[in-house]
Amino acid sequence: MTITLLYILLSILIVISIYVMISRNLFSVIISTIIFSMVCALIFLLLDAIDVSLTEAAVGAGISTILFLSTIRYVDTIATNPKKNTTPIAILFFLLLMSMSILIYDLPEIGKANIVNNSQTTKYYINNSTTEMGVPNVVTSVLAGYRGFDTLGEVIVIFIAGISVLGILRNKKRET
Amino acid sequence: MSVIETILLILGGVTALIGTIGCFKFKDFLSRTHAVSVVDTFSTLLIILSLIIHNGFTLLSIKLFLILVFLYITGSTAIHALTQAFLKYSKKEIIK
Amino acid sequence: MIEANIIVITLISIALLISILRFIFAEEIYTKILATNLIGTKIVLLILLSGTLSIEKDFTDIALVYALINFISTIVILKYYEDKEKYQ
Repeated sequence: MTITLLYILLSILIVISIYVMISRNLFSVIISTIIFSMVCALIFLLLDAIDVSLTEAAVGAGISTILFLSTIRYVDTIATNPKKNTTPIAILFFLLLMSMSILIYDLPEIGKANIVNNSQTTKYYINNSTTEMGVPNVVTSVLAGYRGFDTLGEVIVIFIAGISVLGILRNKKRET
Repeated sequence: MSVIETILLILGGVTALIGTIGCFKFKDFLSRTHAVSVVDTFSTLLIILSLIIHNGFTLLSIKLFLILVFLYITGSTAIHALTQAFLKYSKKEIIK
Repeated sequence: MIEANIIVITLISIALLISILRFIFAEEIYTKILATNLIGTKIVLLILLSGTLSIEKDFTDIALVYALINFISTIVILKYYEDKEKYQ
């Protein structure tokens, strides 16, 4: 059942991406990124990564939307047509995408036990994570317990980003 | 009490589907908001009520009840704000 | 015997797909905002129901955060639309 739900959600992602490419109204494109971010967060949740889905929902549907919307106040909402012919570049990118998609068949399956890079640290994490850290989810215990300093650095980066966004979005007095 | 939960769940799912089909078929914006807001809150009530009955009286049920209250308040407020914006800034002729 | 969980998840997934179609084939901008709110509510319901698929997993905290973000994003879109219309 989870796999069927994942297929449905991934097809929604493809449809929304094609709509973002084709549409000419910039306001509806910004609203599409909200839907894209929410569906992405649901996919991360179904794949057992809860912290990533929380971050994706908060950043994608919260902060990104506010930044884009405060930019589009000063710009027209109808996209202009490109001046040159863009068909050769489109064909080139499509060929590049197809040639990179062949690499998907080399990836191992999800949850397979004997993949190539199953090193000693992975075995140690899986065996001893629950008893040492006390957290039931292995991903959370690696993020917050074993690699805690990485998470501290990420939190500092996000804090600096938040402060700079607040500095940009200060409301200047408008002339009445 | 498995029969009551099953009936409530399936009723909630069917109601949500009917509401969304109604939003797809109506031709006017104000009719669509009517379909969405009424049916949306009712189907969430049925589904969350079924989950509360399934879990008994634990901390999980209190959290689900909080989600239900929050969805009621914010769902209605958001669609009310949207309708006010439509009536104020829309350029089409609305029959007063 | 199919359980009730699977039936409800398929029904709400079909409702989600129809909402996406409504979002794409909408002429006005207000219908798109309405469809965004509808999709957010359906995703909250899907999160709550996918916790019942497996035993001992509950995603109620995450569902509360998503409901908050859905509400905030709708209000922010409307506020910036009003600002753009006023100071055009």
